[in-house]
Amino acid sequence: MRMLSARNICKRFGDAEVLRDISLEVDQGQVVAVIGPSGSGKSTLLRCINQFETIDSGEITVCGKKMVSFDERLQRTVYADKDTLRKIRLDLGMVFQNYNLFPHFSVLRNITEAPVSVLGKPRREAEAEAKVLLSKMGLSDKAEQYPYQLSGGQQQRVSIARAMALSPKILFFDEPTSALDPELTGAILRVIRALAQEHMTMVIVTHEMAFARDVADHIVFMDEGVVVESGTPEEVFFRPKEERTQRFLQRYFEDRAG
Amino acid sequence: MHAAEINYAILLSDMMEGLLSSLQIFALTLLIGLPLGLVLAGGRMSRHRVISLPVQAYLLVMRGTPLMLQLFFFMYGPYYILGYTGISRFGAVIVAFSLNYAAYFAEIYRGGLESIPVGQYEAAATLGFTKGQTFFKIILPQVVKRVIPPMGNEFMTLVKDTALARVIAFSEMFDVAQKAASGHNSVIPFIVAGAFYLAMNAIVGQCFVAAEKKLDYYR
Repeated sequence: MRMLSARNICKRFGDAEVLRDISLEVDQGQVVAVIGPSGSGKSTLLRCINQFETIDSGEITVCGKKMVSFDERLQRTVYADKDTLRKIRLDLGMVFQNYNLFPHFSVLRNITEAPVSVLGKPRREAEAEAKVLLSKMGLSDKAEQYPYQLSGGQQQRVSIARAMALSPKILFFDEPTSALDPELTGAILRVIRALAQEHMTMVIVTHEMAFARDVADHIVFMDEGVVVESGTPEEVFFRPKEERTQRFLQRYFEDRAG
Repeated sequence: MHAAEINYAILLSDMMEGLLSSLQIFALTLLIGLPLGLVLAGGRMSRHRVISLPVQAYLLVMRGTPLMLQLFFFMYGPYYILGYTGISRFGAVIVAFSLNYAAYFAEIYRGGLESIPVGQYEAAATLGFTKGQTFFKIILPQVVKRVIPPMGNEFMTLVKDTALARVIAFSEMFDVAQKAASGHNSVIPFIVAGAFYLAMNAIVGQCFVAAEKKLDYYR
């Protein structure tokens, strides 16, 4: 089943064309890794799908609900009504590079607040579910702590639990390990891998090539606002067709080796 | 010529009465000014220039002219401009103080609001919080923590500024002290008034210390 379909997305900031005719399709249970150099538009693509930015042209459909489409007659994009956009929003979960936990809420409340006040779940039920999520994240003992008391890696796992608490249909990760020390990224990657084994549909923007290769079913390589190449990890990492991809991967793995 | 001996019991009871008036100004100014300041901060930060520009002009005028002048304006303006005589001295005092202090509060709130990272709004949005929920559950509690230190300054200044109400002949504590001082050729009423202001501000200061401590559970 098609969970996300983004077609021919264009986005410009002033004179800068950040996304140039980008398309991205995600099926149920698929793990898609979006890789590419900084400034290639990966994060912007995620932000457009998550309604943080509006697109200039193209169309996006999420779980069968049309979020935005291009109106030929008006010659501009038309977004769905507020109610539909809100429903779409709840289908999508997002994990940010900087976690963006709510500092004034305990770990538990960070996770339960949305289920309680957005979905109207009884607090007890939300707390019970949050505790299950926390134990999955290996953070059972942190429920009553505040975000500042946790390491970056722990905060990021809380933010994954927070997103999962709303049972999103697709979970997006915007460079989830970029703000972390290398020794802390392991735990995050293990959590994402466990989610993949549960067939969680995920789109991961990442700089961790080895991880992308291991966990993703589909790799999208972006550069300068276009999808240069996409395919299975095998195809993109071991038999890249495009010279741009080859150069990028070569430089990446050389840096790692050096 | 010797003025009559000061009757301290009477002086103190008069000044307590004046203190009550000062406290009324203090409390009502906060009651009106604090929420009004928040609304003004919202207007000041609005993307719509039709809203933000007038608010900006308002903040400039209220912060850029003396509170004393504003007191006179709200006392006599309604009559001179509109022929309206219904405004009481107390009414004029409250209007002038509230409008003036709201302007300062607005800028403090704005500083607090702008210091909240945009990621907080984005996280709240992805979790499906409405704009109202985001503001009241996520943003405002964090703003409150950040504005406490500058608000402490404003509250203390307000305690002392209540003395200005006497310029439009509203009898508050300082007015009582001044009359007692000239009636008795004595500086003692001023010292008593000073002690009262000092005591009030010591209490205000302690309240802010307590509030800061209470919100110390997170960073």
